[in-house]
Amino acid sequence: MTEATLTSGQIKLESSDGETVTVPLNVIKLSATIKTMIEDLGIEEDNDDVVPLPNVTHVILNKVIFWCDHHKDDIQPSEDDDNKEKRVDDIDPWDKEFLKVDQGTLFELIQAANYLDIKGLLDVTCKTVANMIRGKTPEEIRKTFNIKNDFTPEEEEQIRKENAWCEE
Amino acid sequence: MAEGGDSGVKEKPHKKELSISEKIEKAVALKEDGNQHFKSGDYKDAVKKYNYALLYLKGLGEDPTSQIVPGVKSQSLTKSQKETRNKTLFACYNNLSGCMLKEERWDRVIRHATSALELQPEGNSRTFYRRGTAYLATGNLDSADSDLKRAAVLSPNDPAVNKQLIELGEKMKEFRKKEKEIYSGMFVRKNKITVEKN
Repeated sequence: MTEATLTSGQIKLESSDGETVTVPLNVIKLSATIKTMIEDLGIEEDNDDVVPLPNVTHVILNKVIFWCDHHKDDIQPSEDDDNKEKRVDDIDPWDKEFLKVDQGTLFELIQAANYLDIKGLLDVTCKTVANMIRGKTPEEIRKTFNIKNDFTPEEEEQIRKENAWCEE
Repeated sequence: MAEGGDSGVKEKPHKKELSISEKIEKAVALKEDGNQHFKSGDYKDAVKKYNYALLYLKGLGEDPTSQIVPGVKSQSLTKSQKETRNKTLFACYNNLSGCMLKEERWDRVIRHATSALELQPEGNSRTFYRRGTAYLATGNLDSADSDLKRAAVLSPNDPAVNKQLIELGEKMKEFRKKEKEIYSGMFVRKNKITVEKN
């Protein structure tokens, strides 16, 4: 099956919490997970199947579909782009706006992008997290992500000494 | 903006989310169901069940966030859950490759067998047999050779594997013959040109 056959038709998806969403194929084709399945099955016109997506909630699924809809006509990145050096300051303004969400939602979007294998969304969400880390002290990072400090004060002092050159 | 609700049906969710072990159980049941369809030659439904099983297992116990920010708590699987997950994923990909072989969709045979082998590099004789057969059918003789030989080691005297190996041998002979003709043809032409120049 070729790309061309994914330009029409739609598919029904069911989120982990039981909501059914109907999505055009040319939108959801950005998910490699779903695209592979559709290509395996072939498309039938009168298909009433509801595809289970037990690892994503309806709130997140709807956001993912919204993102895919905006990006459905983008030129898909090629394999070569994987080898390019990544930048974190090139997030498109629409995505930046889209990702103004609380941290829990951002992490859930990363999970969903990984689950559904949506490369562009995984890229941009991970960059957003990277930007939250950049320029912060360890204490600030712990505070931002609610990470427990599991070093003893002695260990921490030791590490600080070993890495003194970093802080100059 | 950034409100993604407009493409969905507005309806209150009515289902409780499954736990990790329930998802694994469901995936195993779907795989078994797929095997039943596979055995009765109903490949289309088998393909569907295997794909649905994958949707239950994908992403389970994986937390990409913890790779970016170490220390962020992630949902992890127990050792036995991990084993069942990987075994089931392998079986689904391996059998999907088998379904695609029946339909002679070679590129997909290769894709699914490769996914199976990424999970279990040692694979089994069927995985290598299927991928080797697909490579043979698409003219990738070197890869066919390596896969079919692996299959023969894992399952000696398997008539299906032997049959493919014989066919491979014939195709290789044919290929060498053609190659010889092409090269000898080249030299003939080159000689002619030299003669004309002189």
